[in-house]
Amino acid sequence: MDDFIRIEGISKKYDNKYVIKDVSMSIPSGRIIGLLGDNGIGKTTLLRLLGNLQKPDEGEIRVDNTPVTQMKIKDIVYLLEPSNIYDWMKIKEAIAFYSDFQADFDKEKALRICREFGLDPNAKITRLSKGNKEKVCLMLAFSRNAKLYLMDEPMGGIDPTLKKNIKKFILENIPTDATIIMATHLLKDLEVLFDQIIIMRAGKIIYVDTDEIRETRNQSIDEYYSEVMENAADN
Amino acid sequence: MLQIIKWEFVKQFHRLKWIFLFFAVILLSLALLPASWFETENDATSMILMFFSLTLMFGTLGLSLYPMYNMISDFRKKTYTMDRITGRSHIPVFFAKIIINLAVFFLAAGLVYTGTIMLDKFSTETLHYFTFTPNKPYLAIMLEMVLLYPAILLFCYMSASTNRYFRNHRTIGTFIGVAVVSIIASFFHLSGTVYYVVGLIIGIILIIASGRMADQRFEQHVYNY
Repeated sequence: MDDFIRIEGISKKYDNKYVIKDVSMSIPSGRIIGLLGDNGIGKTTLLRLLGNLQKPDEGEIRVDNTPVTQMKIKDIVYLLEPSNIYDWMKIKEAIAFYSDFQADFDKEKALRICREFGLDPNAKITRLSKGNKEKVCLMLAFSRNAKLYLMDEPMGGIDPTLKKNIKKFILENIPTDATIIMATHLLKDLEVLFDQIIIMRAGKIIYVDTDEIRETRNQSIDEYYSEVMENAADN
Repeated sequence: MLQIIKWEFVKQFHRLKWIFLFFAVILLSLALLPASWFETENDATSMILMFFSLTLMFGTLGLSLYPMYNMISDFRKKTYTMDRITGRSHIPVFFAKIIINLAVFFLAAGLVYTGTIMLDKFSTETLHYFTFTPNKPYLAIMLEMVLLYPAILLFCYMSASTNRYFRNHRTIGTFIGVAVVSIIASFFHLSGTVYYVVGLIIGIILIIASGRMADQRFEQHVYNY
């Protein structure tokens, strides 16, 4: 399978301190990838670099053979946090906002997802519960038809029923060749989603197929992740 | 561009609607109060008129500063990401904000004009509750309030935000920048058409330069915007 994302020796530092150092990897298309690691390890920064919201200090990222810095930000789906949405907006205004600016935003799909999630398009964002605000963020992301979806902690407040059906929901709402990279701490809830995982720990990146963990090692992703992190602590 | 202007208007409407409603209520109250009310002047009526007068004065001051705040406010909020992922360049957004500034300027001017007329009926030969006496032509005030001062503040803010020494102290960096620009400006004494043309050109150049800085460098060193 061709590499959809190719990351070559990227580094990023803030205030002369490396958050990401010399990271390289290749990611094929059509995969759902879990991005795991402790807080502050650089997961959000990596997502922002992939989304062209920030530029690496060194190295290059290519998406679909194009340097990501030459891509338009609007060609990549970046999942919002609830606090990113103007709270004076009604849900239907948030939908109108993105359908005005993003050519691949499907308004009909947005309204259908609202119905599936039990969201009233006339409801004001400020009056929604935390879980429903997260549903609005998911709705806005999955109403687009893009090739790359970047998600930072997408399901903290989502109800158990949706979490249970999340894989079905995602597969129904993205193009078949789309790639999703999802940073999360909710491994137990979401591990069923992942085709591959990236584990970030100080100075090192582990990129592994989940099938290999489940079938060869006979471990759950959660168990494997705990083992990796414990080994890292011992070292 | 029209979509950008539309959403900037919607955004500003939600931000300012309660302020303008508040002033509308004050102006309506003044319109409904008969001039003869003043003839029964007592502490209560004087206090109320003084309250209206001071509210209009500070409201006008606030609205005249609002265009400057309007240019940089998006960068200081979490909602920045919602705008950013639309992929719009900052340059047209900044110009849309200048159009909003113009609308706010006219609303503020309308407030001053109406407030002056409304309170004038309660004034005596010795006591004026609210008057506005400009010390320069209205066109110059408009150029400065709508474009020039907001563009200078924006440029200084953006320079401070993307400078390695000031990006963690943006407020201080911005004030230093504004002070430096003010000192430089004090050496030039332009007037008339030359002032308007130079002011317009400088304003536009600063907006474009700020937009480029915002597009290319603003997020690069900020890990919690």
